[in-house]
Amino acid sequence: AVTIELVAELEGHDDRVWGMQWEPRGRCLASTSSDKTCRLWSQSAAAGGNWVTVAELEGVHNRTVRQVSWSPCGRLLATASFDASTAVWTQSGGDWECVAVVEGHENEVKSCAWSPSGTLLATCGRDKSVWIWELQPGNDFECVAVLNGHSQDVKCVTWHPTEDVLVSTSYDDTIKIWTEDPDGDDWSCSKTLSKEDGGHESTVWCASFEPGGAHRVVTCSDDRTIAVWNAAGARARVSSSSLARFEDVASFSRFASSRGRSLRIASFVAGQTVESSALHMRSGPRGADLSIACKFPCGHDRPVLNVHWGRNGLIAAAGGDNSVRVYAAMKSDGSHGSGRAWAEVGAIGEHHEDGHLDDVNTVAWHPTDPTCLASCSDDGLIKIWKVTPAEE
Amino acid sequence: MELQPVLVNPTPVVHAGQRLQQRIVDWSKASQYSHRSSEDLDKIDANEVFEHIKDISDPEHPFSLEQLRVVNAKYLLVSKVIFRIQVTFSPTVPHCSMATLIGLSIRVKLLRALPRCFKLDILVRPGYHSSHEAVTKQINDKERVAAALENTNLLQKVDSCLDGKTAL
Repeated sequence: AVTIELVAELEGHDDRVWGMQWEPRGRCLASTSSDKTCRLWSQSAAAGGNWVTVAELEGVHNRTVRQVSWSPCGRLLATASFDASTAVWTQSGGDWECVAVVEGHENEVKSCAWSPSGTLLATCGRDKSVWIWELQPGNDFECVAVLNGHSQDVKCVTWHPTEDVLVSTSYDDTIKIWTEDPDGDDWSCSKTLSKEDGGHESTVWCASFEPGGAHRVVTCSDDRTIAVWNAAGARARVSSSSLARFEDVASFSRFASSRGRSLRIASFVAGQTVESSALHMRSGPRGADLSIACKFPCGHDRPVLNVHWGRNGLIAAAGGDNSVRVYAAMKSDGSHGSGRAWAEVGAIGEHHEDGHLDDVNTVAWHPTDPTCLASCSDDGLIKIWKVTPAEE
Repeated sequence: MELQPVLVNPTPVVHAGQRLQQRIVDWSKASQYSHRSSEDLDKIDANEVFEHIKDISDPEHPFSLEQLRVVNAKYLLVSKVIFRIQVTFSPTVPHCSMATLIGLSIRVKLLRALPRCFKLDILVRPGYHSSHEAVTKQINDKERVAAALENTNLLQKVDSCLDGKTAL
């Protein structure tokens, strides 16, 4: 079990807070709201360690800002809005300014995500499509693919942490995996996961990859459940020696993936390149072939709106029942481990005195502090939690 | 020449409305989230919820949802234990294209009238609409509802219905 303690309440948005993401090194937290702004928060030494708004990104979106995504280097920030646009922001002379407004969707954009290399930006929305944009010199964005396949609005896009594999989740109850064709020119759907595959029976709100090795994905749904998926077919496709080496390198490294069938990995320790290797993918990227591992109920009969797989191995979930919940993989003897079953190990439920007063929309584990979790809600607040193993 | 809108149900059956002598707590004056332990919560029951929604106008007829038997106190569930309100409504015709607007109007009315601690589920009564599951899913998707309510035209229609006027 874990204990979850409230550390801070971040008050500032004038309306419901929809989305949140930590800057890749955890230096600040970005949040988006129906108040049409995106706020950046960090702890201020000047304010005695309290959390303060360090920037308010406003004046570009004229409707709800739904989601936010940091580029892997933390230089660019993308915000997806119901106003049909995605804005890209960067810091210039201490101030944040909008450097591009990416337009193409017919109506509400619901999610955006940078690829692991930082060169591609994916967006999705109510027009049922997923768009992939390539970052050009001068912060210009060129559309490289419009992916049609979902039969209803697309709720979320998320990239595999090391490969150019994109996952989208939709109101049509399915999860789709998109990969680049071998010739490197086109993107297509390489797999659709639906109820028949052991998946969800209603809207799939969100997907989150396991960090690091990334053999697994977690998804959550309006059907009140969380599902964990394995990249089962992947292991057979890569020889075991290169797989082991890949994991070893990948878990400590920054990386850059080239186009096509090979993946180039450069690992850095303390800023120095110590190893560089190229792995040949025999038939497609490893993250692209998912199958269901398990599915379990979450919360009290309300939609599960968001999930995030932390580097600490724990899965956090945001509930339409106002709850923040934490799940751990259990071994068959009931102890924590990498078994097949997941169990709730901690929760701030809807009646907890520190809990949110309305739907929790997003949960986000801190990228470097494994005990730090953030949540945001329709009640207009962001809460920072300290999650620690409970004393037995 | 003004075009007459084509009505989904040109000849609805109209019933007499009932006047309940129910005192309604004005929640709009209190802060929206402070009510879970409030004594006034005890006064919220199916009758009060019905009182809030019965006078919403049908989008295409100058009659209330109560007069057209679209809403009925019988099909309301209120739980003050788990803070849930479930409203099941019955469109007058099974192909009613106004069902989404009616559902949205009921949701907006209750969001404005009741404390925010209640979770709302607005359902189309099975058998009363050719695609009751699709409509129910749409009017309970919080993201789609939020986006819809940022649409000025749609919000005007909802407000018309809440003012007791037809939306067309």
